[in-house]
Amino acid sequence: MRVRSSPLEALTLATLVLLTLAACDEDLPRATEIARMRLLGAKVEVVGDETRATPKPGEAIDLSFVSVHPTLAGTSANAQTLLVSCTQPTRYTGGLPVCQEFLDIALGGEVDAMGALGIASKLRCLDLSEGVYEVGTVSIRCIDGDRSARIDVSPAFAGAEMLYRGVVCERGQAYIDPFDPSFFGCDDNDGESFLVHGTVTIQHDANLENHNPDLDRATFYLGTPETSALGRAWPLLATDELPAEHDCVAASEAAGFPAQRNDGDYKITVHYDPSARELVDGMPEDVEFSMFATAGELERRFVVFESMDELKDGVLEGTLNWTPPKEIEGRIQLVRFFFTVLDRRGGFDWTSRVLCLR
Amino acid sequence: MSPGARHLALWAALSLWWPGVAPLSAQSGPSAPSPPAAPAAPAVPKKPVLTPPRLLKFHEATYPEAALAASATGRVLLEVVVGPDGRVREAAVVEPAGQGFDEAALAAVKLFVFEPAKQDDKPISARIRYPYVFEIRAEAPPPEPEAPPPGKLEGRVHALEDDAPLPQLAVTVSNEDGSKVINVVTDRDGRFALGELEPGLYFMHVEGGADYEDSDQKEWIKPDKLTEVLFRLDEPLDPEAFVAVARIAAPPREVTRRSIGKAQVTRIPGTRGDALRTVELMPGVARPPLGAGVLIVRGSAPADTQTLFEGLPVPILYHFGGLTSFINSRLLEGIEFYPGNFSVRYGRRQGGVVEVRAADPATDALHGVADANLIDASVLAHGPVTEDVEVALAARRSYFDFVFENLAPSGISTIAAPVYYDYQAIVNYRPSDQDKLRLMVFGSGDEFALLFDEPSDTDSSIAGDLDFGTQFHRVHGSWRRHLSDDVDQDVDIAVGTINVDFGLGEAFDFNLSGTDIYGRTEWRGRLTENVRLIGGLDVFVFPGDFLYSGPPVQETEGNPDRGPSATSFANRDRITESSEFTILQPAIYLESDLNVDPVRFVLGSRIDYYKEIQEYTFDPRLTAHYSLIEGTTLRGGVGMFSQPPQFQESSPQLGNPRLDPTRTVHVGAGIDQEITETFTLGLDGFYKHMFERIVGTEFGQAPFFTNDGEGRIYGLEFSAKLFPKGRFFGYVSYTFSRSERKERAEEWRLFDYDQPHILTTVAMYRLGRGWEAGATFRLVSGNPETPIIGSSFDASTGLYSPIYGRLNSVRTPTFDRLDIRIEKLWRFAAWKLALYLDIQNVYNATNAEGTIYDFEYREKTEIHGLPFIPNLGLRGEM
Repeated sequence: MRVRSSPLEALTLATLVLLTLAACDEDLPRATEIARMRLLGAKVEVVGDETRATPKPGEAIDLSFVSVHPTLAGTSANAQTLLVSCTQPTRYTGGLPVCQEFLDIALGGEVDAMGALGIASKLRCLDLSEGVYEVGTVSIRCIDGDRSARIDVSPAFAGAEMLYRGVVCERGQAYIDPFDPSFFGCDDNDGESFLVHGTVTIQHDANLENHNPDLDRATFYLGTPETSALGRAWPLLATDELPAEHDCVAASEAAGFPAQRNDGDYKITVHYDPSARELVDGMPEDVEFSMFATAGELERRFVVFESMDELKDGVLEGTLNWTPPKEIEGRIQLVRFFFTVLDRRGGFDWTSRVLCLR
Repeated sequence: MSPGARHLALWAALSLWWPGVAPLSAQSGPSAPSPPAAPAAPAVPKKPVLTPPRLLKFHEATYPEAALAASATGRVLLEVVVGPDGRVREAAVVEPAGQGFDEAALAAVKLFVFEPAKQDDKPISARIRYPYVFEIRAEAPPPEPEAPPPGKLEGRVHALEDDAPLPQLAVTVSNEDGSKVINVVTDRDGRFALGELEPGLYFMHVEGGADYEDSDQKEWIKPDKLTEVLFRLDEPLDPEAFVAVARIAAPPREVTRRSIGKAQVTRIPGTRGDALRTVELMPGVARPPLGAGVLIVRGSAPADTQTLFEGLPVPILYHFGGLTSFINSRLLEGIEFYPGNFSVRYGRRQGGVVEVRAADPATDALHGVADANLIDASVLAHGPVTEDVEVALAARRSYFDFVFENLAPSGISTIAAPVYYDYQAIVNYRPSDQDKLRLMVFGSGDEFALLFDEPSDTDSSIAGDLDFGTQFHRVHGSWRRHLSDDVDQDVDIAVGTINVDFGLGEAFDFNLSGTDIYGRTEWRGRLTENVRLIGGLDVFVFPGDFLYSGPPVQETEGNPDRGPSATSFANRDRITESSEFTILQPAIYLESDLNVDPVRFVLGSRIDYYKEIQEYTFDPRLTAHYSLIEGTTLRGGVGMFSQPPQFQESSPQLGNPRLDPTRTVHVGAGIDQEITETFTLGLDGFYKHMFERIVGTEFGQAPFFTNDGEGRIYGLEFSAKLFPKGRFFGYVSYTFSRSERKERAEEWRLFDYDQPHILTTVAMYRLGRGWEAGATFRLVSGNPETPIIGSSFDASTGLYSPIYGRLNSVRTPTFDRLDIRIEKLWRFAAWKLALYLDIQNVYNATNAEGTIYDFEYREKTEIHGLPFIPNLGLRGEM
């Protein structure tokens, strides 16, 4: 045992952080820009208690992925998703998580863990009878289109968390392949594809109960260059009422939020009702907002309200700037904004806003 | 890049300023521990009147039979310490002649008797250089049958650099058998004159004092003739050393030993005068990654190489991961570097050893050095306190914190601006001629703390405080005792404190603090003329405590998930552990040195115990040196080297306390060929095989670490060195190597820092009139990298996790960089002033240090190394 290596390790880690922060990333896409189909999160809703995100053993959940597109023409109707659900290992496996069931087989000396689970070769959604394949606590299911996956949590599920891994193919056939380094992929796909994973906390104990945060309890403001810092409340247009591009100006004005010019920085402010936060060990939970836009440049991605943050006029307030694109596409450009919120305990919600530029 | 990130990049670049580079000098010379030091030779008289020693009794050496038979002649330059009683206390060969001349000259000079040197009228110890010339007397002109008329000798002593006459320098002229010795001092025009000299061969020695090298000449004085001589004195090899210490030459124990002269290392372009950074330019040393002050020696991991200061390990070498080392370079006597097959005196490491030695403070008068440049300032003062006590004090502090707040990007609040400091104090006391006591107090500290107002776009857990702090303080006492003519004893005890603190918001927190205690005692003795023994005990004790909060600990090598594009902290689990612990590592070693002319064998063994894993290791080691012909030496060695697990690997809380030490076999061989007195070629080959290498378990599951790894490393090192004589010194080295690792039954793959080709050139030239210029150029293979072939969106965090391709299967582009340094020195009556400009990356090469990916790992770009960076500094010396 040598203590001298520990400072070295700490130094190395500090250096890596600095290198990351100092790297020349000017040419790389920004996380806040929606330039193509993107996944923004997944919402877990317990069937029968939709606000709850922590199923108990024996309950079922609806797991729905939030996919967004830079234009209103984008759709996930042709998407196909293949998901494997299993038990999240108790210890971090390094890299992408590996099902505890696979670990048990592999660490038991079995070379072909996937084969032991009956997945000896490439398996496509087409090959699944009724889109589902189950081996013990491991299940594989396919979802067509932009729908939710309903997953049953076994009454005997003993793990603290359920793990899901899979792939979303925008326009192709999803598969799982034990010989593919990524394990998942898409055949005949001429659109985007995403590998996806996540965990669902299983509510073995009442203390673990968690509900999804509610963005109805948040108010968004857009401060234009001409208005005061806070600006006006930014209305939500229902998803199915979003204006087509050619109706952008009219729809916006109808919503009381007229088209804007693309000169000067805008200020986006979110007010969140502090009473919307659940208590964790007697303290309000952290909530983490992410902001995305289909054009222009957001100052940063995150606004985090931590448990100890002070209130401003009775609300939690976070602000960032948005710089509109220097040149708009055509005479009028519709810019979509997406906002997600995580409570860092598995709870999720999202919403969107639009802005017309001319 | 956002404006904030741009500012941060600037700050990071500045805070990681100037990783150093430097040359080396490959030698197969002695590696003895420092014996009792001799006081300095008298300098050029200033206020006190110094008189050099005068030879009273000359002892003629026995001419080596083989050399006589071959009619060979030779000149052996000796370094002799003359005690206050006029007897020779110590003698060492400085410039050998081989063929038995060295031993004969050494034996003879020990029987010389001098009139001692004097300070005013008081006898003092002094160090002088004495050339012992072996010539076949038959070559001398036949003696006159009768007493010939006397001749005359006149001389001038000038500076080589600017031809200025040098007054007040002591000149010693002696006849061939030493029966007649005359001391004179140059006049204001640098002249001296001697009349009425018996014809014959005379030796002349000019003491250059503190500012110039000594110089020797010999001339035949002819009857009734005037012989004129001219001395042109060069600046000393080590003008910044306040006292050079006489050292007893001991036979080489290591296969490869490389030494660095301080006169060179403080001037190497790109190093900012930092001695330790010059090790990075030695053959077999890979280029460290940007911002990481580590030594990667012959394909070994950074943690496999140990740096010792005065014989004991140093916890933290560099400020801020490689900016500058913890010690004032002008306080150093020298650096020895053993890239492999090192002596059993060194243990607990399987890579290499760097031994840094502190110089003795001046004994003649108070000296000082003050240095200020764009990033830090330092002062050093040293001199005698009493006749037996000398003191040195040094301190350094950076001042980047004064301007940091103006450079900090928006979105980041400064809690503690980056600052570093270090200090050293040395007290020498010589209670008797046989004893030398030294007390050293030294320490170092780095600190900075920032507050991120909002998380990073790519990792929501990197928010809040980013703080980093390291401090260590140590008291080190040593006792060097000359027990008899054949036996020396060293005792070292050091006690200090270490604290390391690093926090990264909620993502990571690490604190380690404790008390490090070292003890070491060593005996060195000569059993017979050809047999020496070294034996010793050393122990390391570290009671401490730690707190760790962050991702589960993983292996540090061969793990792609550690770079700048690694899985975000938010996408990993987090563990929190804390504990108190005690490390206890005692060791015993014995080494014998057998001289069976012309081969010298060194056979040693070492036993270590590691309490934390309750394991013993036994390391036998053998080296041999063979003098093939004059100027050609063959070297070879084989040995076992053991290394205990790193702290986190064997911690019961973080790792596996049932690990075994890693074992490595070193096999090495080399040849040195002396082309001329100042030009040497060297070639070394090596192979290392690592057994029971510690690796992380598959999928990171318990017991987290096992001894299921292997390693193999092989290579060749070629060096051509022009020794620093005259105005020029230079160095060229090329290393070819391959370093591979293997985990469990997997295939061999490249080591993280495998750099197969390393070319280094260094050249320095004294232009005259105080001007000096130099350049360092490096051409090095890029480092292996693991490509990212995809990613997976973590819906629980909204962040992506990378999917890695084959480990270390691609490589960053070749690295090239040119650094230059220009210095102008002004000499005044009592002090010197230097203005220097150190320019790193002169032609602004955009070297890739790594690859960074976008938030979803689809697109990538290079992380570039440091750009063109000039550093201007001013240094005053007295």
